[in-house]
Amino acid sequence: MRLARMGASFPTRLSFLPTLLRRLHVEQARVTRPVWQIDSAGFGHAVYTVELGGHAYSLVAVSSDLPEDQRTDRVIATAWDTAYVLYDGVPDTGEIERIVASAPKQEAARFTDRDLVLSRANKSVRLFAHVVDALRAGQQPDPDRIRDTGYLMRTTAVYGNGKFGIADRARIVDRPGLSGPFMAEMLTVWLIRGFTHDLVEHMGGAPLDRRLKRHLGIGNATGLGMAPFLVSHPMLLDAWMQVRETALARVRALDHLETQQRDRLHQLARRVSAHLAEWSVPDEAAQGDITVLRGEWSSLCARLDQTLAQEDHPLDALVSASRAGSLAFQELVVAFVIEPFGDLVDGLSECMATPFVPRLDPKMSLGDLNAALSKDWDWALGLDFDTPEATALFWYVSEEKQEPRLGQRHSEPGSELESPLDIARQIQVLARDLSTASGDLATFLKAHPHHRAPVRRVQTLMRHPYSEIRDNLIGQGCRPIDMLRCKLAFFGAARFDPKSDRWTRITLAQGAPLFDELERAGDWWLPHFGMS
Amino acid sequence: MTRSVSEISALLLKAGRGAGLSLGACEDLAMAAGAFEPSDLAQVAAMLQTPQGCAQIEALCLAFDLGGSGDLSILASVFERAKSPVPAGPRDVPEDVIDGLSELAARTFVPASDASRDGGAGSGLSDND
Repeated sequence: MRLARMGASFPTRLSFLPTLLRRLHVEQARVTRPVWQIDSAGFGHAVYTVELGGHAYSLVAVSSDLPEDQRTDRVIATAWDTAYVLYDGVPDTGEIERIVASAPKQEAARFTDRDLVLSRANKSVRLFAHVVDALRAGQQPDPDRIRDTGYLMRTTAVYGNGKFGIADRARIVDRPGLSGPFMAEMLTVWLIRGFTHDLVEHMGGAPLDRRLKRHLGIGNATGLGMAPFLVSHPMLLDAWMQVRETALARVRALDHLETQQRDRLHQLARRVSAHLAEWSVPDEAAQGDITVLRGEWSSLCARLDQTLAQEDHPLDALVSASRAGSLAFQELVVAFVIEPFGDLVDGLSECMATPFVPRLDPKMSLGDLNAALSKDWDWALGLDFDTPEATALFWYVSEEKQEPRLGQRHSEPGSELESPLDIARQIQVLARDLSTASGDLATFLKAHPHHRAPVRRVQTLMRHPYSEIRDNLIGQGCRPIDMLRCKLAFFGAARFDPKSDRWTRITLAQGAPLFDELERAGDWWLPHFGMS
Repeated sequence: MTRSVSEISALLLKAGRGAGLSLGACEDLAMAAGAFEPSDLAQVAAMLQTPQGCAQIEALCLAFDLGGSGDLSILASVFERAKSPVPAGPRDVPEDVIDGLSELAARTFVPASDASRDGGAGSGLSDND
C-alpha cells in the first residue's frame, strides 16, 4: 500500500456515505423539519430530524451573515456562513438556543455530549447567488453552472469524536446505523446538503428542479490536518482495506456473469464515461491524469463486451488487464467491478469498524521480530536517510493554531519538535539497535524504551497487512493529498480537485438521493449530470 | 469544566511527548484515557513533571505488557480497567491537572514563522468563489 496508489483512490459502494444511505433506505427513514426560522435574506436557524436504528438525531443548522473578508477555506478561519450540530435526540427550545449561540463559534465554544458532530460550511458564493437569483426571476438556474460546480456550500471541517466537548464516539458506537466509522459525520453531511437545497429554495421563493437539486452535493475542502489520522489509526486503516480487498476477491472469484449482470456493467461503464467527461480541474497535472484516465476508460469500454462474455472469471480478467494502465485506472476498475454486486459485498461494511487497538507483545523473540522486519519492512529499511531528500519534510503542530503542518527540515526552524510520522526512519533505528541486541524483547525495550512504538507497529503489521502506509512520509516525494484522497474516497467523496500537494476540494453526496427519494440509495455511484 | 475522553486522550499523548516520554508509552496512556479517574490523572500529571516519574511510567507500561507489574500501582489498575469498555460520557477533571498537562503539551508546539504561516498548511487562498 503505497502513497501513489492511495492517491488514486475512488469511492466504492462500501464507502461510508453510500453505506449510510442504504441503511436509511432499509429503515424507510423520514427526514422532517420541525423548525424553520430563516428570514428572507437566508439567515436564522432550522432543525431537521431523522430516525435511525431506533434513535432520533437532529441537525441544528445556523445561517449567519458573513463579511466577505472573513470567508476562507482554511481550518483556521473564525467565522462561517453556516454552522451545524448533529444532536442526539430532538432538541428542546433551550437546547436549540444553546446551539444557535455556540455553533457559530465552532472551536472557540464548548459543547456537550448530546452534541455528536460539529461542522460549518461556506457558500460557493457565485453559484449560490446565481441559483437564488434565477429562482427569484421565476427561472431555473443554468444547468452548466450546476454541473461545473456541483454544490452550493463547502464544509471546511466536520468534527466528531469528542472534539471541543462533543460526545465521544463511545456514546454511539453500539447504535444501529451509526456504529460504522464516520457514520454520524456522514449523516451530518447529508442533512447539511438538504439544508443548502432548502435554503436556496426559501430565498429564491420557488422550487429547484429535482434533477438539478440531485446534482448539488456538498463540497468540502480538506487539508493536512486529516493526513496523520491514517498513521495514528493503523488498525482502522487495515480494516477498511481488508473490506475492500475482500469485496474485490469475491467478485474476481465469479466464474461467469449472467446477461443481466453484464448489462448492468455496461450501463455503469457508460455512466463512468459521462462522469469522467464532467470531471475537470484547474490543476494541470491532475487534469493530465484525468485525461489519461478518460482514454483508458474508453479503451476498456471498447473491449468490455468481449471481456465480460468470456466464461472463465471475466472480472478477474478485467482487473488483471487493468494493471497495464495508470494507478487511477486500476483503482477505478476495482470500484467498478465491485459496484453491481451489492448482494455479495454489502455485508462487509459491518467490518469497517474495529474495536481493537494495537497491542505490544514483549514476549516475542528477537528472532521473530527480526524476521518480521525483513519480511514486511524492506521499503523502509532500504531508504537512505543520510540524503537530504529522505528527510526533507517534518510534520509538526503549530503553536499558533494547534493544527498539523508540514515544514521543510533543511530551511525552516522547529524540526526538533516534529510529530512522529517518520515511521520508516523509526523502524531503521530499531533495526540497527536490534542488530546488536541479544536476550529477550522485554530486556531490549527496558534498555530502549523509545522503541516501544516502532516495535508495536512491526508486530501490528505482521497480522494486519494494510496497517502501514509503505512510504517515507518525511521524504521530498511525500504528497499529503495522497493520504487525504484515500481517506476521503472511503467517506464516499468524488471529483477530487487538488489545490496543492497539501489540500484538496472534493464533492460528497453528488447524485445522492434527496430526503424524499431514499429508494435511489442503492445506485448513485460516480453520477453524472442529469442522470435519471 | 468537563472534558471528553477523546480530549483527555489527545492531551495525555501530547503531554507525554512534551515531557519526553517515549511515543509508545504516550500511546498507552492515550489509549487508556477513558479508564483514568480524576485522581489517577492528577498522579500521572505529577509523574510526567520529573524524569524519574517518566522512567517509572515507562517501566510500568512494560511491566503491564508482561502480565502485571507485581505491585498495585495506579497505572496498572488504569490499564487493567482500560482492557474492557469503559463508561461513555464526559469526565470531570480538575483544572489544575488540565493546566499542568497542557503546559507539557505546549512544549511540542512549533512557534509560528513566516514560512509556516505561508506554506505549512498548504493553503493561503481565500474562499470567495
